Amino acid sequence: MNEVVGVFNKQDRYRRAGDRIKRFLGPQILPVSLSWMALASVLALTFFVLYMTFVPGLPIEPGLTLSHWALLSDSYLALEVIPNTLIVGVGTVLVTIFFAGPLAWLLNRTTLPFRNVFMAMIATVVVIPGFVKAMGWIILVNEKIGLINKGLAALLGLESIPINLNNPYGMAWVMGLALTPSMFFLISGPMRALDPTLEEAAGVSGVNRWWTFVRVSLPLVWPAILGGAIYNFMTAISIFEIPAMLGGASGRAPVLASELFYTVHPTTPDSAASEIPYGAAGVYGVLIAAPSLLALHFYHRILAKTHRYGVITGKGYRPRNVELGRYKYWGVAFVLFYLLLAVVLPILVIVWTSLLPYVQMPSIEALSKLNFANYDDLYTIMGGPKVIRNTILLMVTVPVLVLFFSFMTSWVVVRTRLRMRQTMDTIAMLPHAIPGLAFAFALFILGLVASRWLPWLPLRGTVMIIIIANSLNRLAYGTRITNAALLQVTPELEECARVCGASNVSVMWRIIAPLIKPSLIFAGLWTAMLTFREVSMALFLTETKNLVLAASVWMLWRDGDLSVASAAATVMVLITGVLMILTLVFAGGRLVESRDGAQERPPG
Amino acid sequence: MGNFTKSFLLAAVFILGSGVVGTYSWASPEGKKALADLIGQAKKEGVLDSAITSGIVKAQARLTSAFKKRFGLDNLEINLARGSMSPKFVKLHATLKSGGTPTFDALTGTGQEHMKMKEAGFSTPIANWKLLLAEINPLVGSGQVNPKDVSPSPFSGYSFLWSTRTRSFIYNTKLITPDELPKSVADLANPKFKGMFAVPPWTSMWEVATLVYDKEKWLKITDQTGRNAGAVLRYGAGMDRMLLGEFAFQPTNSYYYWQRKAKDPTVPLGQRWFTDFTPLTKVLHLVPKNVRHPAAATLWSLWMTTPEAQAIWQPTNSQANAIFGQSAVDKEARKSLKASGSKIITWYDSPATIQRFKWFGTDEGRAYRAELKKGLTQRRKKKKGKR
Repeated sequence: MNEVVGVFNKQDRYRRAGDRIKRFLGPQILPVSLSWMALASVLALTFFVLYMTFVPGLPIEPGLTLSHWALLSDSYLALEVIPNTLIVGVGTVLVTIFFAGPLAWLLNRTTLPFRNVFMAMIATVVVIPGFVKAMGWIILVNEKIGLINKGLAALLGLESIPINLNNPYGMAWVMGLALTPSMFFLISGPMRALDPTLEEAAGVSGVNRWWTFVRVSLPLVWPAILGGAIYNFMTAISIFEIPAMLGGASGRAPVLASELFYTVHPTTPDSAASEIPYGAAGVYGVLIAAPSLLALHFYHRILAKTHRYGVITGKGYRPRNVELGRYKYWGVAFVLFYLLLAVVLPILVIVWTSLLPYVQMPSIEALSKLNFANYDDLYTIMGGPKVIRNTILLMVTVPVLVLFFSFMTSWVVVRTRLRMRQTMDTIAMLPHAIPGLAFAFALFILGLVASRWLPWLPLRGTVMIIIIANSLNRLAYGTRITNAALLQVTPELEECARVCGASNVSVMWRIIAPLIKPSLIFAGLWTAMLTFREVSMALFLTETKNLVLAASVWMLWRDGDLSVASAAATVMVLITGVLMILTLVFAGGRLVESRDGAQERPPG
Repeated sequence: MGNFTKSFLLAAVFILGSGVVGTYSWASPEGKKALADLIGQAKKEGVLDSAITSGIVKAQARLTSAFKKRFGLDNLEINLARGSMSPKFVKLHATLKSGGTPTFDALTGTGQEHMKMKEAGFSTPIANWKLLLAEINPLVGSGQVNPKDVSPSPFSGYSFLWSTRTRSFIYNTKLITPDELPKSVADLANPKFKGMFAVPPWTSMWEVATLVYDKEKWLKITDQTGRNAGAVLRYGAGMDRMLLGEFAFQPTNSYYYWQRKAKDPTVPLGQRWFTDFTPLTKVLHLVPKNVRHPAAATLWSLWMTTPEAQAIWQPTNSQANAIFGQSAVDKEARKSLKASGSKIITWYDSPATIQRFKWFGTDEGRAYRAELKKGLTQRRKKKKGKR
């Protein structure tokens, strides 16, 4: 009898505990629990990276030490690596804002011709591997061989122009051009959704267009710009491939990312060691994360004033384009100038290189050697059907996972008053603060442990581990987009729906998702593209069966055949360029249509 | 029996004997049985996970198909990874140290990597390796090549030679003549070569040079070499920048020269051996401990030493086997090296050289290596005004 009573008491206790959780979380139990699935993984990996800095050897071996932190007292780090990293981070952000701000306005808020084509071309920038861009710029700007240096020297009657890109400023320039699309897409959604009635009100009050932009439009997209700046700063200091090409690999212009990469990814057999210096890798990871977390703090201060940025309301949401008139030619020239620097020149360089038996400067002699020999057997060289299958799986799965978990997390962060929401947003941003390579390294060790204790778990050596690494790594980007998009939809729409009896899921799926669809499409596309070209995590996690295209092209370059690597890169650009154009024509056409349709419809 | 008859008989016995020894000296029924057992086991395993260098990916399909055909392993699933081997060995160490199962059943790498694997007890000794080699590699089976050349000391029975890498000067013939080139590695310290070449970010060649030069003297030479270097670049990137005209020459992997010439005979490149020493790296296959498919891995490691495999992969990357290879590329490499008179050095020539290699793993050796790296790449020196 007592046992029966005990069972009932136990069940009662469970029920009461469940009720307490329900009361605490209210209707948000679904988004909270789903978002914590991803966030808990992020936290676990972050703690693992931190833990790595305190263990003497392999992270699964016993013992603790502080010796790895002695790295901080190294003058090399303080005098060269950290200052260089900061120059690269800040410089990159400045370059991206310089290009992306005007581009986003021109392509989203004006009647500039060929907007969809330009957007597709900007998106193509992403798929050109960073090392190819760097190689292109080495050929363009170099004291001895640079085409621009030679041209300028001839023009000015000088022997040479002593400008090189093998320094942190050069890295910032190339990286800034490469990351402009990420800033562009981050602010495009909010820019599109700006309510013109506010601008019209300013116009009616006698404020000119410039001041309207500065005092009305700019503050409304400020969270997106700040989010983009922070995002790009974090990206810039954790990308290794461009710094590696421009002096990072040599140690002459070292940055934290290249130091981290070459710590965990030795380039040659080290006669002194057979193990990765795990602790040092962790310290580099933490050092990269520290400034990013600081930047994140400022971002949260802006986010705290969210109510100022709501522009999509239930009352007369009518985005409208600005007529540029005769200034449209200047607009087109600006877009073309950016595309020339970021797309045309690097693509020309890779196409040129891919058609030659060996890399050489443009000349009559070189022209006579152009052929397609590097494209022979390219399918096999790139890895055949297995690599294509892995890449497609990666590009499809990662955006779906990222968008799903980002939306859930943003819902909690932006739409609830739960005390944990800011903590959750900070955790969502962590993957961007912690370099992907450190996460990949932590996942590798977890895979190692899993292969020993849970051999049935398909983790190590599978595409799954690369999918997990990319999904967690892109969560920061996904939540920036979904945060910004949700911020612009005022809660009154969903309040109306709830009054009418709609469930939480119904509100999310039938009201909010359609409203922020443009942002979601951009986020999905962008995530797919970033995942497609991501190389450091894929390289580290690649074993026998999970090679993906970007890692394959990088290996070709790394092993010394630039011509074949360029042919592979050209094919990569072609495939994704076509895919991107098709998607944008499909999705972009609908977006433009719906926006114009909204203009024609009477408000409300 | 007259003298003539005796001589005739002796000659006949010698000729027949040498023929028998030459052709079948290592082949035996035991070897045949060992091979049959191994093949049977590989069939049961059904899978082989290994890796090849990116340079030979063009030959991947033909290699796997020829391998299957050679041993009748039609249903064997072969997964070959590619890319740099050093990170794979580092991960392999981590895996085995933690008691895990390696993802690669067989792996190719340099002698240095194999030494560390063997020292750590992570390499698998191959049972009956001499008998198996005689069955699988016709050069060994016919007695032309001693099994000890294929599986050299100090990793006899554990690792099997696939190819060799040597370093030499490769130069842009449009920018420099052979007479203007430095003669030796030590000559790179001469200020007249300032800015004319790039050095790699690793010090392997400068480490092995301590077998020839006094350590302290070599440290100074390396430091001056670093000051003269126009850039620090990986070998491949250095070759590209040299072809673009930024640098006149490179101390680099010799096979790049043959590789580029094979692709375009008109490429403006020349090659010359160092006069002070030629570092030679042996590249071998091994089967790590605890692998899932040891029989298939053993067959793969041994078969990759054969002329059959070499005829498939060598045209794609021109890497020679300067020790026992019989192809035109191998013979040309040996002939050219011999003609240069350069002293070939490796880490595993003698107990003394092995001792020096191990010394680099001690605290003192690590500190010395760090100094070499600082000198070569000139890290940390710029701010202190030493440049």
